[in-house]
Amino acid sequence: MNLNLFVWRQKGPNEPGKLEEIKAIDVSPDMSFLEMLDEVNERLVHQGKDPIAFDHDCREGICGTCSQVINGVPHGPQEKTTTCQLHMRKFKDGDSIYIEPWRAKAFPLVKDLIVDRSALDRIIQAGGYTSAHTGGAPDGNAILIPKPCADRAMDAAECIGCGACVAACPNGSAMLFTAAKVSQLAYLPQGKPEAARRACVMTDAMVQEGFGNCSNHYECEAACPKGIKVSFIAKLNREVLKARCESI
Amino acid sequence: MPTMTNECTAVTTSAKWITKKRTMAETGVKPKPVAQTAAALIQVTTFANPVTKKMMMGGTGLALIAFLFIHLLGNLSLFAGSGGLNTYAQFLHTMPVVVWVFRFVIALMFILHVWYAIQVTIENRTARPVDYACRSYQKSTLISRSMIWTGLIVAGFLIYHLLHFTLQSLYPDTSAAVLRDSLGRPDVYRMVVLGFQNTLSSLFYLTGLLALAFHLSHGIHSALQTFGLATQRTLPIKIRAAFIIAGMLFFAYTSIPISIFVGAVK
Ligand code: HEM
Ligand code: FES
Repeated sequence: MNLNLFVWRQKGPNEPGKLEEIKAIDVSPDMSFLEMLDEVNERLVHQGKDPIAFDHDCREGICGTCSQVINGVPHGPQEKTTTCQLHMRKFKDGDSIYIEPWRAKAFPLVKDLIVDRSALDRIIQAGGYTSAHTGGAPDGNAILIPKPCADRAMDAAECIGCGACVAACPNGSAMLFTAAKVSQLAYLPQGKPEAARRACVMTDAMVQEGFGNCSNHYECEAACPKGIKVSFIAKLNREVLKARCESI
Repeated sequence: MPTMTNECTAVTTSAKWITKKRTMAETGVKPKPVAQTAAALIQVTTFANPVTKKMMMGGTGLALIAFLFIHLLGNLSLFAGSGGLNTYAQFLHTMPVVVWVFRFVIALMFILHVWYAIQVTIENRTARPVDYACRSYQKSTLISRSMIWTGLIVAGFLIYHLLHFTLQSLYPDTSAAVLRDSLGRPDVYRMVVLGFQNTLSSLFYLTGLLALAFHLSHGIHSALQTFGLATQRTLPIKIRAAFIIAGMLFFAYTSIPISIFVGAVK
């Protein structure tokens, strides 16, 4: 099939950018979205043009590096799927596809579709850890953890930190990301003692990085390729409330 | 070993303020309590934790909703005829202190709500300086994205409403200050009925209440989520409940101008 791509092209952080129309010819429905872009890039290189710069790494939906807003939805139209796992059979011959980078003040653009997401790392650095040494790996079942808690912690830990929640949020808020990182620790005995304080410092770090506040639009949950639920945001909020009640 | 160094902003701000006060006392400079308190308040609220800000909005919002229910109960006494509403109005006038404390608390809630609303909205808008050329929303609604606009309409309506029925300066000829009922009491009932026989006035009310209903259909479940009172299972129920409560408030409140406008209440 043949497609009309409208791709955001921008040479550098301070250069002007614009949507450029690029044809994708002879696209196989079995290709992944990134493979389609690879072929487009090969042709661009043959024509002596600059290839489209985009982020990718594992291409199996676990690293969270691929970051494209496809037709107005981060990671494209298919639910719970990263861009690299999206297949071209989701599109029809002759379709127009808009491809844009994650848009947020906290994600400065590097080139074309690549943005700098280190602000997310700095949110983790602010408090996404336990400050007590836990030693080597403990024996299995040495620390008893109720099954529902373990399940919730694992669900939160599914976050791959791709930033789709930020890209989807009308406020450019990283609340779902922060909530997942707070919750994965808060549900477990090792993370519990510092949970309330951690929630405060990580949300403080979030706004300091220039992310917006949460307005409970729940757009993030719909965009998350790992299906992280907004109930983790409620959990984060409870931890902040706890901190306020205990006045930390 | 890493330690958490990021102190809670509110705590550091108030600590700074205390230090400043102390140095002022030592150097003999007279502090200006009002200006200083105001400056500290602005600083504390502006740099507060984002979740704390949302809880202030949610808390003040829920308090305002509680007031809406009390206000509604009072208003519905209109359907008990002129005796009902005028008796209720006179009852309120017998306890001015309670009424004034009530007004003060509501005004404070309202001011705090609007203060945080404007702050939060500006922060949210600046968090995405370059917008998408193509945008498709999955879960958010036009209502949830228009909270600031429905809120501002409610604020505008409120000014009109206060001028109309509280200060009664909008239509002085038909104000309760001049009208008297058969018992010689200020005729609030007649003021309301005459007020809503006016098409423009009734339309204003419908618009204001519709904006309020939109605002609350998102606001109620948003506030619950903000306070962490929602789980994966209960959130969809709360979203529906918010819609129903907002709708009920809308129909209960608009029943008054509508029944007067169609002549069911005269
Ligand atoms: C009777 C009057 C009002 C009531 C009962 C009310 C109620 C609420 C409630 C319950 C929320 C949810 C808070 C949360 O998510 O935690 C809310 C949010 C909001 N209100 Fe109001 N409100 C009123 C008036 C106003 C006014 C006058 C404004 C205008 C400046 C306003 C602006 C907002 C905004 C912008 C939000 C959304 C904040 C966000 O999540 O981004 N509200 N309101
Ligand atoms: S490239 Fe790793 S998740 Fe898509």
